[in-house]
Amino acid sequence: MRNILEITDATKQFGGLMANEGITFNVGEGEIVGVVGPNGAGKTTLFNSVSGAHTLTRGSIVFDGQDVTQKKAHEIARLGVGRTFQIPQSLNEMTVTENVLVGALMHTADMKKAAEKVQETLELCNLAHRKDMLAGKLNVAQKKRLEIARAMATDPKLLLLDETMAGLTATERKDAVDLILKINRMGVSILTIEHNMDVVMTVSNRVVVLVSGKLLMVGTPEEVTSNPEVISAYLGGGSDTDE
Amino acid sequence: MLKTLFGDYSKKQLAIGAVLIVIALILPQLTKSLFMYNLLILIVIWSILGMGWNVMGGFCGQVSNGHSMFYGFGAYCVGLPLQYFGLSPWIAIPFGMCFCACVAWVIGKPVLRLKGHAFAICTMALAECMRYICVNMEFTNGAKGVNMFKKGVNPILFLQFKDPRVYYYLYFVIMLIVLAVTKILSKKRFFYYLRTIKGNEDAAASVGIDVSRYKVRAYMLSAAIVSLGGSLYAQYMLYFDPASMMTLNVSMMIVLVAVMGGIGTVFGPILGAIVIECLSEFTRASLGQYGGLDMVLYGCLVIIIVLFLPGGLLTLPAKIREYMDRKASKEGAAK
Repeated sequence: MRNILEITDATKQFGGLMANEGITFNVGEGEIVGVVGPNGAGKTTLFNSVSGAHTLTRGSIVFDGQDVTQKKAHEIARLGVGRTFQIPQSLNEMTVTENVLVGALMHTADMKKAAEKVQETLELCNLAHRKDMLAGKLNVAQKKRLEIARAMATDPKLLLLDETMAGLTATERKDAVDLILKINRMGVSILTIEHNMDVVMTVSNRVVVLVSGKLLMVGTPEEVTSNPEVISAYLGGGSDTDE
Repeated sequence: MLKTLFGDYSKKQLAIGAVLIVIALILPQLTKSLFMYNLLILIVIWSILGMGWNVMGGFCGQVSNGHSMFYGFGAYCVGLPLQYFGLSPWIAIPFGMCFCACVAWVIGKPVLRLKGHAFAICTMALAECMRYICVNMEFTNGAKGVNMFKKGVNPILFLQFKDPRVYYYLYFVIMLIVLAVTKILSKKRFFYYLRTIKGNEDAAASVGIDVSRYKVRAYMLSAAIVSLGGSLYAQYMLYFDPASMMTLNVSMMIVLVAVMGGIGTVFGPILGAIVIECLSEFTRASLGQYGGLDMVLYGCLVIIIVLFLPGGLLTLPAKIREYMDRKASKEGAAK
């Protein structure tokens, strides 16, 4: 499998704080990779580095064969990296349609073509019935879907999902999982930060575990859940390691 | 293009718009009062200024408190070429717009790295610096200002008319052009990007928007339109000085016009200009002799409007509808 994303020795330091240190892993084309770790493990920092919101202190990030380590966020987005945010950054004073439109306008200035893309994306994300609503009036689940829709309208090759399931009910989570799987079937690779282990196990082909800014392990969901170190570090202590 | 301009409106709204335009065209013919002519011309000029600021402050969300700088530069760009080279304003006005766009490009690159209050304070400081420079430089005539009146020149070529109504009709057409350009742009990628930047810069970058570049572009367009307003004002008054054009007071008035009418809306600045200018001129004319009472009343009215209609006067019909609906539902529940 060809790698769509190659992260090598990714290190990010904020003053005296080492948020990420020596992280190395790949995301294959068409793969869903889950990123897990306790709070403060450096998951969002890693996302910010991949999406260009931060620049790495050391290491490199190669996306689709291109070194994007020093590139800015908008340049990386234009190369095909879409992202959502931990706290939804919906454009509250714009309608749902307009929120998605700004994504669709990335590759075309033709409003008609962009509008077609918006319609398609709204239907994909089950937001067509809310298209004229102001984004600020949506509930949390809808805002999260809107973020995905905005990112999907840019036709990404890789989608970074930052805690998409946080704050959702069980039904909403199921819908979100279905949406992620549907997007993946469309050929989009996905790197997702997730706290909900059930979801991680359901959607991920592989799981990356971060602890205190460092890579603990990369493996299949089964390998990760049976690893005593992961259980100890992330799941709150397992019998083997605690003893 | 017609669809872009008028496609958003119902037939009723278009009919109201047409009636308002007809009223605006007839008004100067119904009066012989110089006060009224002056008021109408100022409304048109301030509408243009408000629309200019609105591109930057309203659509892009970058609140500049220093647009009096471009207002003053616009005036100097018609005044000084006329004084030194006898240049027609038909050439000088577009030159002024280009000049201000270039100035905005040069200062915008570093200044637009600042955000929120820092940006607002920085633009204010820049405008003050420019005012001091204009006051102290010889070639700008310093504090004496620029007298643009030329005897015996071709009135059309040099835009120097005896009848103020000619200014009004000419400026009104220019205002409609600026309005049409704003309306068309509001449906284009450029303005959608500006609104995205206003909403959230991180989200904007995540959909491939080069935030810095678009902010600079918005600043350039905004500066060019405000420069146009400055040129038109100077051309109408045929005299200006830095103290009347480049003060903080003027910058605040420009902001107020857009904010009061409806920030980030296409028509808001026109409504704001009508209300602000009417309030300002009528209170001055009726209460000006009572030692600043006009300013007190003007200030109070502005506070009341901004306090109760934070979204601007354009939101008034929606607020009234909301109130009526609430009242009707309360009455329904009581029955």
